[in-house]
Amino acid sequence: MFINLFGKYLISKNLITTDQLNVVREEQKKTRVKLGLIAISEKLITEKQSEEINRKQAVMDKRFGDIAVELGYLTDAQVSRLLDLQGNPYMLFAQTVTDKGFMTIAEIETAMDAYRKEKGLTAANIEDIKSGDLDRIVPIFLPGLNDQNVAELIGIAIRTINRLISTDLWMDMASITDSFSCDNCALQNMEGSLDVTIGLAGMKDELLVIADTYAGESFEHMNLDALDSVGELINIVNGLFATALSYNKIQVELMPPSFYEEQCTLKGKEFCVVPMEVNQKQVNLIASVGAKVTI
Amino acid sequence: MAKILIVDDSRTSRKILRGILEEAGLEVIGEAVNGKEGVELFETLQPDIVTLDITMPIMDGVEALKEIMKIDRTAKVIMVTAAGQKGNVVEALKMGAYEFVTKPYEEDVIIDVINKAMKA
Repeated sequence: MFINLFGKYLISKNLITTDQLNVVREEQKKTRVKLGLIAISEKLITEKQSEEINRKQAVMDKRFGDIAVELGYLTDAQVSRLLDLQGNPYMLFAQTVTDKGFMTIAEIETAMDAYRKEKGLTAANIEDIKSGDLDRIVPIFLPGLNDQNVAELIGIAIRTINRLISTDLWMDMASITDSFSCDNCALQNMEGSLDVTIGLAGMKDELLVIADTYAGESFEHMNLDALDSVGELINIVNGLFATALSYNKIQVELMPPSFYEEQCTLKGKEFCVVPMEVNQKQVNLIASVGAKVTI
Repeated sequence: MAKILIVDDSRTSRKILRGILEEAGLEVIGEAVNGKEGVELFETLQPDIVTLDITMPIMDGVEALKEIMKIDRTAKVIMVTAAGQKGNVVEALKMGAYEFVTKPYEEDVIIDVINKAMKA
């Protein structure tokens, strides 16, 4: 997430080019080693244990390190040391950008300060962004969102996309609205003690980035089959959210997802729209808790 | 070889599950897109195992399970759920469902459950 948030800003200010950012992205893919691999090379866990954690991660809203601790394979202290070995995304970014001669460290720091001011962020926010930790980054982009349930739902959705679709994510400030237009979308409601809606909406064929990856096939257009694939992903998000609500004694029931392949306007009461990019394709995350979003 | 009926309204979910089962050498003898169609196919195809999604339009999985159990009290039905459907799962298990699995599918888990169901 860090490289996309800050990299996109640098491009918008002509401080680096899109091609240069892509070079940095590719370099980081090579150098940023997965936590599981580091744990294996440090002989803290076996390959089989790492695979088991990866499988569990696909169905749980938890990080690799948290699952490893729960299973008793690693201690908190070991996870912390492995994260240090993995490296801070900001430091990796700065190292690659300076090594390639695209910017100096002083220029990066100046740009980071300008980014902070332009976005109205605090120094603490910047540290959160530099960490690359989604749990710390996502709340920064939900300003004025007082409903903790909506924030939790959005957090689960973004972590699920990060886990099952792509780690190449970017997000912008969320907005609160009663109406939102799109070319196609998949929505799912939950009913019970609380009305909940989660959805993904896109323009043209942008949502294919979700549909293709989840289903493991290539759809030609955002047709009903492709939307069905998007619907399965949001079904998983809602299931995880329903579990989180149940810890607070709130019971909800999942309804079958709805799909809209034509241009449509979503209507609701102060629902949240989070603009995101997944693999550099724009998608919009729709979230509402307390009132449903309908077409 | 176990003959399996998949009941799920999601084409994506049916396709992923069919792929996992066939890869493991199991035979998928039918697919239904809602509970009502699932009950009808259960009667005509007489599968060894049924995988039954809970959240479906027209007739949901719990209702379909009730109908299947009326037809054959010994039917081996595996409920398929998203996380967070604990209430439905408990109800289904009380009604006679053999086991449940959670989406997204973990290949070894679903195959293990089916193998156990076949031996039960």
